[in-house]
Amino acid sequence: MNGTLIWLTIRQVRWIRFAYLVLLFVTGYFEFTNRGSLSVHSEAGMMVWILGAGTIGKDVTNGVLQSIFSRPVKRFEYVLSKWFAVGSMGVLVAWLYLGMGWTILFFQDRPADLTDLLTGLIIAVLASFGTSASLILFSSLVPGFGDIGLMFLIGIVPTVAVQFWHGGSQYWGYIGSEVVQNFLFPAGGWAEDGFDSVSLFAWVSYFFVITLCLTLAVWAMNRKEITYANS
Amino acid sequence: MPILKSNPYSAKVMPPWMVGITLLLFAALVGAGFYQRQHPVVLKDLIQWVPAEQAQKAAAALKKPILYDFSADWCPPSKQMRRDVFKNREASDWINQNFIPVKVLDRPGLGENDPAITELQKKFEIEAFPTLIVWVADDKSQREVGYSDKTQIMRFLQGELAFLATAASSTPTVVSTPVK
Repeated sequence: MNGTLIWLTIRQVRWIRFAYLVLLFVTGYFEFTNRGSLSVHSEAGMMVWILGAGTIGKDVTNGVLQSIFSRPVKRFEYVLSKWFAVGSMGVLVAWLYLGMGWTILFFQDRPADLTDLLTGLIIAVLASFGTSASLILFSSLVPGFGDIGLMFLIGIVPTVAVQFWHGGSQYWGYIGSEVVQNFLFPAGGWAEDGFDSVSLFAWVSYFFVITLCLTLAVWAMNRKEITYANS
Repeated sequence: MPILKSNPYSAKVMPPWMVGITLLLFAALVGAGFYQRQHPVVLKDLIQWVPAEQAQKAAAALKKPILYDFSADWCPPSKQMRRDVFKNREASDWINQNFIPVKVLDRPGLGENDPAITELQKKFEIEAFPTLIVWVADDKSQREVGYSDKTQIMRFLQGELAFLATAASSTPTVVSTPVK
């Protein structure tokens, strides 16, 4: 990983994205107030989407890649630095979000258990770095903000299929939907089950999805031909 | 493999350790899949579930309604409800105190259904998971279908208990202090 590239990725985040994050925090306020439990899995994923959308794709369309790769930087270093930067930003914002939830519950006289808080903090780390890996893969495949569109399309297909599938049971629809969810928001089974009920399969599949996404992203980046002629 | 034979000094190098770790994890994933098939994970919560065949006897002895939870390990809303409600200390203590809770899992461990489970699902005309049913007699059962959070579940269950307490004035049901 390359410190300069990590810092560059963080500095590339525009302020408008923080406005979207504020919206997420506002809906989170009502979530925490109504549900009374600390949960951050899907929110951490969305935060990573907001902060990291187009992280490689925009570098391609804006012509930033040419400047970066004119220096002695290996492409896999670039991919890993992007992944780490987006994941770290996601973790920080998700922890802030959890802190807000904990404060709300505390002032409502129903403070969250320390175990719930610790679980939330760890899930925020796992979900952020997991989602960051799949986002980086999609961003390396399509230019601009195409990654968000691609993830949305892939995510919505099984969800819609489950709604319209009335043959027998919805069993296979749910299974398909879960597989896709675990690919788009990798966080193992911790989000639903907590750490005491997590399977070995969930742990292995989490790390496999991350390494697979990053390896494919490096492969896609290595195949990109960059021309310096028109920039 | 051309992927591993690239020039290590090139900017386009694919680090062999990345490919190696991915392949290793793929092998581990297949192994974990086989292992999990033999040793399915027992999902824990805080409810003291009673086996379905003992539920009616226990309900008659303790004069409590039965709370059936028709759910599935493979169903995300069921899992979410377990996390939000059945793993919540306040809610589970209150449910344990006021109901005879019975969990009816659909296809546990992704296997086939026991005939007794299929029969119960048919009897209660279960169409979706999760479905919660408060049962006192065949003509007096109420249901909540789909995912509901802790507040909604508690509202539903408290409403049912209050209704049963007024309806069966000859055999009053003791309702403990509701959870916030």
